[in-house]
Amino acid sequence: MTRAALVVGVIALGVALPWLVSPYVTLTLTAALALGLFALSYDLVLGVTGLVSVSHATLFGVGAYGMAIGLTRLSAPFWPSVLLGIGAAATMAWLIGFFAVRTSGPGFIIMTAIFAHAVEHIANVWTSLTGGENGIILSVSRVTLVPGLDVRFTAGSASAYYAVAVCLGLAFWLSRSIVGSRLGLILRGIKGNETRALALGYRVGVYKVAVNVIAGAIAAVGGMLYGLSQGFVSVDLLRVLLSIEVIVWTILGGPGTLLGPVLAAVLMSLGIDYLRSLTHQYLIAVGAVTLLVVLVLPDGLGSLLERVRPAREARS
Amino acid sequence: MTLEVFLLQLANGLSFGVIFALIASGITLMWGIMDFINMAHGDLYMLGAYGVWLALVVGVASFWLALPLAVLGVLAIGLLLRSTVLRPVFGRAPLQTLLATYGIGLILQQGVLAIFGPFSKEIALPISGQVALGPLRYPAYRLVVIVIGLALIAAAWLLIQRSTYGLWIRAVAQDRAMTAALGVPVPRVYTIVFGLGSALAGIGGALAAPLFGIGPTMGADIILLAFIVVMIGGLGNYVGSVVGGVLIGEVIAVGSIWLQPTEAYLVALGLLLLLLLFRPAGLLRAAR
Repeated sequence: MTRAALVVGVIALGVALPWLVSPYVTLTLTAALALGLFALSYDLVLGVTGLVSVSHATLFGVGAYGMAIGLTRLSAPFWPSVLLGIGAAATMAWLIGFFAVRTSGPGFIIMTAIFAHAVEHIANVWTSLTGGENGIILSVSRVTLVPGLDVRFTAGSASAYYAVAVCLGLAFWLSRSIVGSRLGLILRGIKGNETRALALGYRVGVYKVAVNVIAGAIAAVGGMLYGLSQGFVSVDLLRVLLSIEVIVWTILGGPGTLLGPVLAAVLMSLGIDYLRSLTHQYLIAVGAVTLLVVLVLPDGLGSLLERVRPAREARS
Repeated sequence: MTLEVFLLQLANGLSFGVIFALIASGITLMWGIMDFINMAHGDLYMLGAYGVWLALVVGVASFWLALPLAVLGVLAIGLLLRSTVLRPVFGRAPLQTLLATYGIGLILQQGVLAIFGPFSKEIALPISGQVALGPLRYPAYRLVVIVIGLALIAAAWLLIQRSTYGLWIRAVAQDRAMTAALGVPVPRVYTIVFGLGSALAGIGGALAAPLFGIGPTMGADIILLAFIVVMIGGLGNYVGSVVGGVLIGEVIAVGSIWLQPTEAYLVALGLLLLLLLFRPAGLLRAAR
C-alpha cells in the first residue's frame, strides 16, 4: 500500500518536474535519465550475469556516434540513423564479447578494457569521422513520432525529458521481462555458478555474448537520447572513464536490482555535474569516489541501510 | 624502402619493445601472483617519466642520477599505496581491485595535470651520439635503453627463479593458502611483487621520457599497448610478457614505415585478435 503510494508519488513528481524547475535543470535531468538508462542496461551485464565489462560506455558512445554519423556524414533520415546507431553498438558488443569470452578468468576484463581504450583512441584521432574533442553537433530539433505528437530536442525541452523518461520506463519493463524469462534464469545461473551452468550443458559463452549485445543495444538507445538532448555527441560518451563510472553506479545502487543502479546513476551523475560546475579538478573527486566505494561501500548503498537499521533497532 | 630503414626500425622496435616489456611484466606479475589487476600501472610509468623531468628541473646534474631518483620515488609511491589505500584491496575480487586502482590512477593523472599542467615536457637525450652497428648508425641512447631494459628484465627473472623470495613468489602463485600455512609471509610477498612491478613501470617511464616526451596522459596511452602485450604473452606469464613486448614493439616500429601510429596500434590489436582465435591462452601458455 505505502509502496504503491510511493511509486505513484515518484511518478507524479517526475511528470511535474519540468514545470517546477528551470529549462537548464530540465536539460540536466534529461541527461541524468539517459545515463540512468545506460546504467540499467549495464546492470544486465554486471548485476544479472556477473560479467565485469569495462567497455559499456564504448557501446553507449558508438550508438550515439552511429546515429550522429548517419544524420550528418551520411545525411540519412532520423529513424534509419537510429537503426544505424543500434546496429553499430550491437555489432561492437558482439565483436568485444566474441573475443572476450575466448579468454579465461580476468582475460574478459582485460579484453573489454583493450577494446574500450582502442575505440576511445580511434575516436580521438579519426576526427574527420567523429569530430574529435569537438564532437558532432546534432541539428535534430524535432522528431515526429506519430502525426501530432512531436518530441522537441531543443535545449531544456520538456518533451525531450518525457521522451527519455518513457524510454527509460520501457527499457526497465524490457529488462525485468528479460530477468524473469528463461534467458534471465540462465544468465543468473551463470552468475551463480558458471561451472555448473557449463556442466548442465548451457553454452555459457554464447549467453555472455548475447547479454552483451542486448545490453549494448539498450545502452545505444541511452547514448542516442543523451546526444539528442544535449545537441551533440562527443568522445566523452565512449571514454573508459564513463565505463568505470557506470560500474561504480551499479555497485552503489545494488547489482542485479535494476532500479538501484538507475537511481544511483541519476543521483551520481547529477552530483558529478554539480562538482564539474565547482572545479576543474572534479575528476580527482571522481577518482576518490571510485576508490572510496571499494574501501567503504563495496556492497552498495543498500548495505549502508542494513548496517544502520540494526544499530537503530538495538538502540531503541 | 631501403634495407637500412628496415634495419633501423627493427632496432627501434627492440627499444620500444623493451619499454613495453618493462611495463607489461609488472602487470602480468601482479595478476599471476596475486590476482591483482592494476589499472594504475600506466600512471606509475607516467610518474617515472615526470620523476626524471622533475629531478632535472630542480637541479640534479645528470640524467643518470635523475633516473634512479625517479625510480626510487615511484617505488616509494607504490609501496605507500600498497601499505595504505590498497592494503584492504589485496585478495578481493578483480572487480574491486579494478575500481580501486582505476580511482588511484585517475587521482595520480589528474594530480599531475593540476600540478604540472597539460602541456607535454621534453628532456634532451642524455647521450646524443651514434654508434655504428654494421651498416647503420644507431642512436646511442636507444642502444643503452635496450641494454639496461634487457638487463633489468633478466635480473627480475633471476630474482623470481633463483632467490628465496622468488621461491616464495612462485609458491604464492601456485597455492596461496598452502604457502601461507607453510609459514611464508604472504603479505610481504605481495609487497615485494607490488614494489617490483611499480619499480619496473617507473624505470620504463624514466627510460621512455627522452624518447616519447612526458605528459599527464602518457600512462593512459601506454596501457592499451601494455594490455595487448600481456594478453599476447598469456596473462600471468612473465617470459610471455617480454616476448609479447618485443613483438609489439617491432610491429609498431616496423609498421610505422608505412602506417600512422593509430593504424600501427590497430595492427597490434589485430594481431592479438588473430592470436586469440587460434591460441586463446596467449602465445606461451598462461602461468597456470
